[in-house]
Amino acid sequence: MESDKSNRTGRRDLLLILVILSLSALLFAWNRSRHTSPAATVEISVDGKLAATLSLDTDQEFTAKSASGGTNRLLIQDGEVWVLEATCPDKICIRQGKIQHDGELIVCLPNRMTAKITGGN
Amino acid sequence: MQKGPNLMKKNALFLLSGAILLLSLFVLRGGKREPVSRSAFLLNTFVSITLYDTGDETILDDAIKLCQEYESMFSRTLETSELYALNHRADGVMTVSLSDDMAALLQKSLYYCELSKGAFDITIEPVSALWDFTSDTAVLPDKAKLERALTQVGYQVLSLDKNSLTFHSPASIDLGATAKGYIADRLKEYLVAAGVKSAIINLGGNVLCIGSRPDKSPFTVGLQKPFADHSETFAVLQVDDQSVVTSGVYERHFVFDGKNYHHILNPKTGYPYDNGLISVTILSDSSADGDALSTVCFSLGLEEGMRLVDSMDGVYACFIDENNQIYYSKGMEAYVKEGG
Repeated sequence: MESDKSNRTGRRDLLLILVILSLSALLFAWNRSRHTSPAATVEISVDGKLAATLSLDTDQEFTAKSASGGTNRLLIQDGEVWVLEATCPDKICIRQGKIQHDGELIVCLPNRMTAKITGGN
Repeated sequence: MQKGPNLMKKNALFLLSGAILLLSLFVLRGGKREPVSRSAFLLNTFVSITLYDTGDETILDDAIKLCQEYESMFSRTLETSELYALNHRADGVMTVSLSDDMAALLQKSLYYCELSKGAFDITIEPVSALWDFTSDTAVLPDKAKLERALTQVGYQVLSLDKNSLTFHSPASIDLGATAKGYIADRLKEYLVAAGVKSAIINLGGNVLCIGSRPDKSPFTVGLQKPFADHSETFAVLQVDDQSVVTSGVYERHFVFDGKNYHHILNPKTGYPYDNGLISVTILSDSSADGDALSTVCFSLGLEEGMRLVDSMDGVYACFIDENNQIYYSKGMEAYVKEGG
């Protein structure tokens, strides 16, 4: 009886240790993934809603359409993103030029469009 | 006694795994904290709030919510706003009672109307409502309508007594030049009360810093070259717990018959100020002061505007004229890191 009980506690302890260790491993992995930069992408949103996430490694085009019918034509080339054409009256989005670094942002107020770089350097 | 070594082994294992858990938590905390940020199209512009010393995103959500509350208070066009109700009061109603926020913002705004001797005037609303800087096609307002609207401009017809505002004759209010600064200050109050010590509040270029970077170095705010094809900066300001606000002729504007028409309107003529200035940037502690002063100084022009800034404590300015000449107020250069 005695040995059976201590055996059970032993197994429970071992289980607890395993849980703690795997929790540590998980935390460590999560932490690593947070601090190593993934490949750079551009997140294009219209009115706060994500419209597309595109890799900067691939040269491509994307046209963002706003609810009111306005459009911004974006181009990705050689790891840079810019607005090539837009229907907005002020064209400030075009004047903002090319972006490529993590956190950089192009905003078009009239069309409520944003393009934001995430990841990379 | 038999269980002794077994128990010790177990304890050692516990200690070891506990230590590993602590270590991984430590690595987690010790690693460079990523700033958390939230942005939205609000207040007729692009708003973003970034926290550098906390990962608590509920603070961000609440800050954006606060922003929405202020928008629904101070918006000129939103039919449910307090300002809209003020401007569309029933005929014969002369005295209106205000919310605390509206009273505080109006008091600040009227102070700057007086300080500028009417070069800046919040009762410009009937005139500003005739200008459309957001349409696809550039259209000048009708001259006769503009003349008529001008007769209603003059902040002197307003008198504010605590939370009650009296209109001594018909008038209508535009808070576009002062509300964002006031809102930025309130957002800062909220964030500081929530324990934030390092953050940037950016209300469409109206930038207010909380403290400095987590490593105690100042924040840097780039001043953009007017009309630049790319986002080029001509100077970088080192900012510690201060506000940076710019008013310029290239923000909300259109070109008609080769002439640039911008949103800083002269209350005497109803047309945009044409005094050779391109932009005025104000560095100050309070963003409400900075927001109002950037418009006030632009309206006063280079000489008088500079004199005003030099007479104020803790307020600095950078004026740019149409020849791209840069003028710094006394003490401003100490904050300029590069460029110029």
